[in-house]
Amino acid sequence: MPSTDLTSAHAFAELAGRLADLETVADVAETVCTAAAPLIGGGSVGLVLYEQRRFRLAGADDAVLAAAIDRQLVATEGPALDAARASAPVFADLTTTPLWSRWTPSACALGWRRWLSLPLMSRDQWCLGVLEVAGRTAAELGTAQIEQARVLAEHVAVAIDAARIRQTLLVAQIAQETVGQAVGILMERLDLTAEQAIGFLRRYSQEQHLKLRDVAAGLIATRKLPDPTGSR
Amino acid sequence: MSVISSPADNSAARFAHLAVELHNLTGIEETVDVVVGFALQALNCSYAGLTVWASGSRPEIAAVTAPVVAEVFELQLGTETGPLVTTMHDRETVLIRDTESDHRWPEWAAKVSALGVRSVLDVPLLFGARHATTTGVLGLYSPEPDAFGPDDEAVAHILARHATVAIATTRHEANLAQAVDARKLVGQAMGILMERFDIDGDRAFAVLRRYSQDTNTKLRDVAQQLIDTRRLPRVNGPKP
Repeated sequence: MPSTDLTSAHAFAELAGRLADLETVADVAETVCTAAAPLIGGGSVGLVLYEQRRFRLAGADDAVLAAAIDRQLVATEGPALDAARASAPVFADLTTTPLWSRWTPSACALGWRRWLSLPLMSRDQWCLGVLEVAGRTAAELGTAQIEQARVLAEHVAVAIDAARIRQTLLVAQIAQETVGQAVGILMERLDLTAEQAIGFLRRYSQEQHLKLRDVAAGLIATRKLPDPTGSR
Repeated sequence: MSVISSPADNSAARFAHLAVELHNLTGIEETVDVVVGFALQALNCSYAGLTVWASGSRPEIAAVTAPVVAEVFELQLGTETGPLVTTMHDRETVLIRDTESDHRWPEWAAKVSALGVRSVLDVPLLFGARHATTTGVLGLYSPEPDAFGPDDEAVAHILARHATVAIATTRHEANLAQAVDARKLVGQAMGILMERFDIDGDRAFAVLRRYSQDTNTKLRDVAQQLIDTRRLPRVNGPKP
């Protein structure tokens, strides 16, 4: 029989495979929150994602954990935000920590004692979000669980980043076709190369303080460049 | 015993680092090179190789750590028989404890043992639902007989799983990036036709698609020709 150490590695590999087959970031978040806790061997698991310049609770396997995470976002302080800011793990015993004077008492009141926030890094080394692991007792989130949670966080970061890249590329297909049509119209009308037409559109959108996408959509719909006065 | 299973370094952590490293690479070649390199470090093997096979095409040797691995592969791909071929078709692991006493593929085994390879472990790469037509094999080799124990087999399976994820993800991303580029070109060609004939996007797309079908040319290529020449390609073939 293989050693027990490999049993854990095998379970994480299976999870990584499952996550890689999912389509969207939301699917990955849901599966992590429903399936990941047993791999850590204790504690509860939640996920905070950084999307459109905001932190958002993406899920938790425990409603009381979701409440405590939510309070961090409301109080705008807490281990998740520190972990994201520093791109480094944050671990705290909430019964003794002097940190986060607004948030810590409320998390303790909800019954949480130990808290681990692990940043999820993208391929380009920016923070995608934070994996939150919390324990109601010291034993629920001890050294062994912290080690497993760190392994989990690496796999979760990979899966979320891969799903995010796929989503971005799918959105880009639609955007590129719209901008492409506008470029084609200008190429034909003004006898320009594609590069010249793209340059023309870019300059126009900058000068008029309009989004490139909007200029392109306007040109396609009306066959005219959007009104420079912005009166639409 | 595998190096990786020593308690001093946790194998789950090492595989997690590998998964991150593989994700950070964007090319297939680098990906498979890292996989076979990891095999050499983590397993009791002297050589490793990886083949990937998409249905409808020939199996391809994606990476080898030594020329002898390519020879072991070629010996099987030529005759379409051997443990690698069996692993690929049956999608099951094949372990050969000693090529000098193997009876399943005696001809192949004799040649391989003459190359100095005694132990062979072939592990399938099982791609998920989206890639059901693709498979691959991670091949591990040792000049020692009976080199691979249960831990090596377990490590090889875990490595194969991560390799599968990394290869599938890399391919999918590359395909999507190509699609983005194609959509840009098709959009430009549509715009040219929309302006020229004063038609809407749907009709412009229908014109491009008809030319694509009539000339049996990819839509992307029809678009590229129109952009380059400002003319629609001639229709030479018979009309449907």
